[in-house]
Amino acid sequence: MFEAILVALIVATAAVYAGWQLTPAPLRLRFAEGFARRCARTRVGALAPALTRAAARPSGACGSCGARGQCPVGRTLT
Amino acid sequence: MSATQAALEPDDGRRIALLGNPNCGKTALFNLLTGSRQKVANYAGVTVERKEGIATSPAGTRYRVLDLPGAYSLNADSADEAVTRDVIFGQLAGEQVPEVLVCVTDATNLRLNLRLVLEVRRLGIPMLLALNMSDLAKRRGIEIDTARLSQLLGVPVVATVGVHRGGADPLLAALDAMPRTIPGPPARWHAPTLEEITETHRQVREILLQSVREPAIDTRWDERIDAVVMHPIAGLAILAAVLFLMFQAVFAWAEAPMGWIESAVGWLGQVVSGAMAEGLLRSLIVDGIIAGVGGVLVFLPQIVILFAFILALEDSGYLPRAAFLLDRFMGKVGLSGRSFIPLLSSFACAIPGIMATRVISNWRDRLSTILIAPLMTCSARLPVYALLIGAFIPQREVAAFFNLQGLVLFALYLAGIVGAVVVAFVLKRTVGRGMHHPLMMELPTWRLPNLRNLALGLLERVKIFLRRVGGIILALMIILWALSTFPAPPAGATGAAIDYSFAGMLGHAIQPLFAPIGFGWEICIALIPGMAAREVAVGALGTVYSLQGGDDEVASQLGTLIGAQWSLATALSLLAWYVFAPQCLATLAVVKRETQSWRYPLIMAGYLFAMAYLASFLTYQIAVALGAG
Repeated sequence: MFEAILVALIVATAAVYAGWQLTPAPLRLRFAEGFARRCARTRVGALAPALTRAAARPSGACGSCGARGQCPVGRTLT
Repeated sequence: MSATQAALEPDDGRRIALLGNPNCGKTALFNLLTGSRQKVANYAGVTVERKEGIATSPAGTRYRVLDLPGAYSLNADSADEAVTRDVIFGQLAGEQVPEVLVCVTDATNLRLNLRLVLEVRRLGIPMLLALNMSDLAKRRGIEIDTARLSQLLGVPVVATVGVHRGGADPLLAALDAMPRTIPGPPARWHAPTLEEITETHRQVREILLQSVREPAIDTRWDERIDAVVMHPIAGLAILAAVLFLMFQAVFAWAEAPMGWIESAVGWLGQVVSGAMAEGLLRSLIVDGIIAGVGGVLVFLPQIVILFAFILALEDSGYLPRAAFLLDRFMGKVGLSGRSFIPLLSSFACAIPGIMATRVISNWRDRLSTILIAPLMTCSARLPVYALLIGAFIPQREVAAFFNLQGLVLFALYLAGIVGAVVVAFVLKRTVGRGMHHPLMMELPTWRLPNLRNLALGLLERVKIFLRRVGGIILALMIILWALSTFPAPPAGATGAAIDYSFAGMLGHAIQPLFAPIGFGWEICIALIPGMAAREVAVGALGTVYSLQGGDDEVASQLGTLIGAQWSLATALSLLAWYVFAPQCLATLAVVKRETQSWRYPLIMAGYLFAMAYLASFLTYQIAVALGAG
């Protein structure tokens, strides 16, 4: 039983991580902003700044390729 | 926390911006100041985005340093130059006018570099002149009277060496000495008229006359080398030989280290299997993680060798010469000469390559380059190629010198390039193109690759690969294992358990679509996670075959296993598929961002899928007809 729970946790963590990494940065940022707004007065609200930073970080499964600098995913040029 | 992330805090010190002509060493200086490891190379146009980092002077003052794309003038012609202009004028969203502009110049080429300095000086923003590559200038006998130059320009002047430790110390000391002022808006700027340009040239000549003494320039070696390397026939032969050597080395030199990693992965699988009782957790670790992730990890030596060549060629100054060599040909197929560097970058990854198209000012030329960039074989495809070549192509010498496996790899890269040429030609005939823009690019001097740059570049590539393996690839392998394991087979089932799983059902469902090109359901399963990251296809095959009843050494023996189970026609068909197959999702997302439309990523995915299917179909059917099925 314990083994099945552990495996389920590992698989769930991997799914959340992969989903987060593959989600486009603007969507992630929108999610992080929504989280910050809704949870501002709760205990989990303390996680909002970390979530926003994580959302702005390059990902996209491209390995944040160093060639030509970090991909500026999450930053838009005007 | 990286320097770049740290720099996002609101009041982290004085804001300084590094600007200057392309290829004057701004990014090398930025790396030295901030401890970053941004890409540097011996050619123009490496930086297409503004980058940010934190530098601390010996006196303890913190500086927010911006590294801007190179520009010859503030009169922006392309998207990357517009970034530089917008940052200087404080027009970029959330960006204020920098407190100090550090004009970085190539001390060996002040005649060209001082024009921008004079243009920027007119803006009235506090500025400082960094004579970068001053060591190289000294070695060439160029004597610069920095005090006199400072007096003539009316700004502090310091000598810097961007590639040596401590080479930026004089710059930090000079910045510390500058009084802090609140930056006002820059003076009104207008595109220089012809008279103003002529006057600027006159001023540059006058300044050089009074402050710089240059010996008679000895460019004999550069000219001698260029005469051969850029010769229309000999040059092309040398380019082909260099690329050829690179692909031969990828197979020949990587053999031993790949063997070590394979042995280590196989040993780990056996140890874990022996140490754990049979069950879900053991299956997850052995069949999912070790077989999947280990199967991808073994290709690290080949990736390192490939990038060692690319980085060495970049640093030597060879690549811009190759661009010139191919310029006429690229013009004929409808590409701009400036397409070469973005396309070259796409061999590492299509994403930075597509971003690098910002250096192309004409929209149609830029769009054509974006649409064909994915046809350049990115490094993520290398594990797939290497696995299939290793499994199906015998390792033997051809013409007593060439390695057959290396030859096939070369042919696959070439097929991607030929495909890109054909698509560019078709786009020229359909979409049309703007006026021909001949390539104008400053040729850097030849130099031996800097070992520090090379080591840093390789270290960065290794870290990127390991981050992928330990991050998204590991996560996808775990998910694939779960999809290949559940639901469990019904009581009395006779087939392999994976046949009854979600992944098995999905593989069997889409297999009829791929049957005409020879793909079995196992390959169909591997193609799906391969859309997230291409090398995941290799790991996915490892997991699928491991769960199908292979032993604990599937990760290290995957090549042998598929060599025994697949026909040669299927392997060739899969190779053809990966030459053209639609790019990973991240690439499509970047195309959407760069073109501001979903239309172009959809067109790209559609035409690549059609090309891949057609190429695989022809390859498979011809191979079967020839008896390889």
